[in-house]
Amino acid sequence: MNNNKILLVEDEPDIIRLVKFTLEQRNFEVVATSNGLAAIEIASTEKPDLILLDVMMPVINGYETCVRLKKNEKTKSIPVIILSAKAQKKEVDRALRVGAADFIAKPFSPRELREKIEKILSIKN
Amino acid sequence: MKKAKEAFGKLIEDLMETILSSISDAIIAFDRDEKVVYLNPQAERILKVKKAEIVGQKVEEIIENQELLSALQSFDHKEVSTKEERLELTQEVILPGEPPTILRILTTPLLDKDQKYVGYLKTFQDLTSEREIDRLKSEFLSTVSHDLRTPLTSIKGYVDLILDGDAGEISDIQREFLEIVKHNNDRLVKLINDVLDISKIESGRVHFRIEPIQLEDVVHDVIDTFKNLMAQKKIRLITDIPQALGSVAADQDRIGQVVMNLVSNALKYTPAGGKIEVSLKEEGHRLIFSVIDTGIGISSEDQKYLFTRFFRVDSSLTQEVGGSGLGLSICKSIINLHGGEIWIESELGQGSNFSFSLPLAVKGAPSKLKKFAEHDRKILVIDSDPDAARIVQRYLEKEGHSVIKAFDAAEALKVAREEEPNLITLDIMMEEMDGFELLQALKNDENTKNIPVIILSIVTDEHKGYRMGAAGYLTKPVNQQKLVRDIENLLGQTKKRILLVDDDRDLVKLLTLALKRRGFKIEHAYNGLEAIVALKRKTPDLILLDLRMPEMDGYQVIEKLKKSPKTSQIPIIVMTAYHFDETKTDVLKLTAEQISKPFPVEILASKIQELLGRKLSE
Repeated sequence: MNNNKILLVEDEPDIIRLVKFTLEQRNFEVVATSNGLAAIEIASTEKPDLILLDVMMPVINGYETCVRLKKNEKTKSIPVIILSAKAQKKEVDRALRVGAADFIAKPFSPRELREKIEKILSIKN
Repeated sequence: MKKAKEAFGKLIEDLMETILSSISDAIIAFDRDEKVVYLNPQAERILKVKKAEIVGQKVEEIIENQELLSALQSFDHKEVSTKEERLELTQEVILPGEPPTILRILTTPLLDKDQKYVGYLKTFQDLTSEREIDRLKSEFLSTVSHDLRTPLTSIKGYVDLILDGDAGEISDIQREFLEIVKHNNDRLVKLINDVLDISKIESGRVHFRIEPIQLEDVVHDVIDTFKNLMAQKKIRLITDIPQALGSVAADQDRIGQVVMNLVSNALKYTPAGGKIEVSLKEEGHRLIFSVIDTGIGISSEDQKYLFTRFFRVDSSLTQEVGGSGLGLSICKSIINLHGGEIWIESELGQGSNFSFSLPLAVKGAPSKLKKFAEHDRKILVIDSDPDAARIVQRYLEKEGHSVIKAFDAAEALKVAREEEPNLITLDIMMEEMDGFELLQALKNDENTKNIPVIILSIVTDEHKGYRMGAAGYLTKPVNQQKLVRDIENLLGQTKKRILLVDDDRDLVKLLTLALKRRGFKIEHAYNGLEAIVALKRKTPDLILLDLRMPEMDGYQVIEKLKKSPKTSQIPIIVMTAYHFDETKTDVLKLTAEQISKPFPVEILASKIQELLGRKLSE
């Protein structure tokens, strides 16, 4: 039984539904927010096992959010996957530099997303 | 008669005045003593002065803005005596304000009817609104890119879910139709990427990161990505890539993009069981890449339009294969901007041969530098203008370098040979010999060819500079920080580079300080992944590696490093606070040394010295 909790930080309702559906099918618990600052709050109280972070968001962007998560004692060890609509090498480098565990370019296939999460959390099918 | 002539002269003068007042550029004329003789109303506006206040004066008495002042004075061609020697120099100045004014300044010498120098003319073009439009355009593109991709993400995501069976069973016909939706969605994504790419390249907003690269590395990387696909399609791959080819001055990622595009095209159009040949060769001053396939070939009629935008060969086969019709056009732009050519040789039904050429960089260029003691950094400053040389000298002496100067090419060559400086800065606007010729002379001379040369120039021509063996290229007016940093980077190469990988930030800080003091150059990474990224940027001489880290642990890093021929030879010192994992001893055997935390820094330093010394003597 998979009891992992995923925090999704994304501002597009359709994509939130997409990710929720994909992950809930595998019994992940998904918490979603569309705001980077709220995400930091939720991350430190809810203690998710992994954070999915979109780059283009209002208030503070994904990179900034990631930097703050990695600076915070309570959240720094939670692995982060960055989701970005830009896929240049520059973006991937930037994601790894701010401490992300992985990078997924949009558009992505739900299966790819699920497999990456399962790999990072070492979940066997 | 005399009166008529005078009246006519007055008429011409009035006419000139009207013309000069009506154009949008600002114009200022100086006499040979650098005193202002004329300015038009636009110049009055930009300089914020009245004509009456400045005519007959030197500008430094009136103008306070230093940057503007130096732009107005930076002209030193009083000896210009013929029209052929007429030089037009351009530079850009940014004036503070809201918004800041961006000016392009053009300098033209004024010659009388006997071709004698009588002064010079400065023309100012206001680029502020042009740049603002550029900025808006780029912002627009980036927004559009994001806004187009967001709905496409939803389409792809939900279609994939249904196709994967996650939303319940679907019939074969539903599957077929959804596959079509998916395929076209993927095409649209590719098209958006290509359109953005080409609009960036064509508007000149792509900034290439030009550096000396080995094209064979790029080609090997691309081939590696396609190997599996080729095997699946049962395509035979033949490569002819000689070792030790010359380097080219290029943007590695962009050239990689071109190679990727050409090889993937070859793969796309070659039927199963076919053959693809990839080769690299030096030919004269060029390096030539070719990929030959046994695909359908392209008619000579179609070849003419092949590299133009949105052109796609019209045949039943290509219809099926799909594509945006932009790939080759992007390749052409990239190669042309690198000073190269791209072409095709093909016949219908006979397969195609796509090739591109890139100019070779001069050999013996700046990789290996002479050893020198820290305090003994001698820099030769070559500039025909003593004032300009003095500015550079001041910058360098402030950093503790000792400076020698040369003001003409012959003297420069002689001093470079005799004094063997550690580095040379070269202004390419020289009188007797073109700076590029001097650079070539330096690179052809056994005694001077390994001395790194940084070009300082008003003209933006990095490609030419790097191609001819320059180690750096800065545009004037010289940015002091940039110059110092470039010199640091070039001369710093003799320092041994250590990559320190540990997630304990305090320890990283401590070791960085301690090892820097011992004359090492330290780069750090806080986990295995960061280490891999850092390694791709620059190869260190030694790696200090912690084992327990988040994201990717030390064992994984070691395994990764030892697998690649590029990194397998770098000595690794493992540092750990825990007992070594018994099951991983075979991995640890691959490393050079292990050291248990806590350890005295002296012990670590001596281990490092010993390892690097051993490596040097090999």
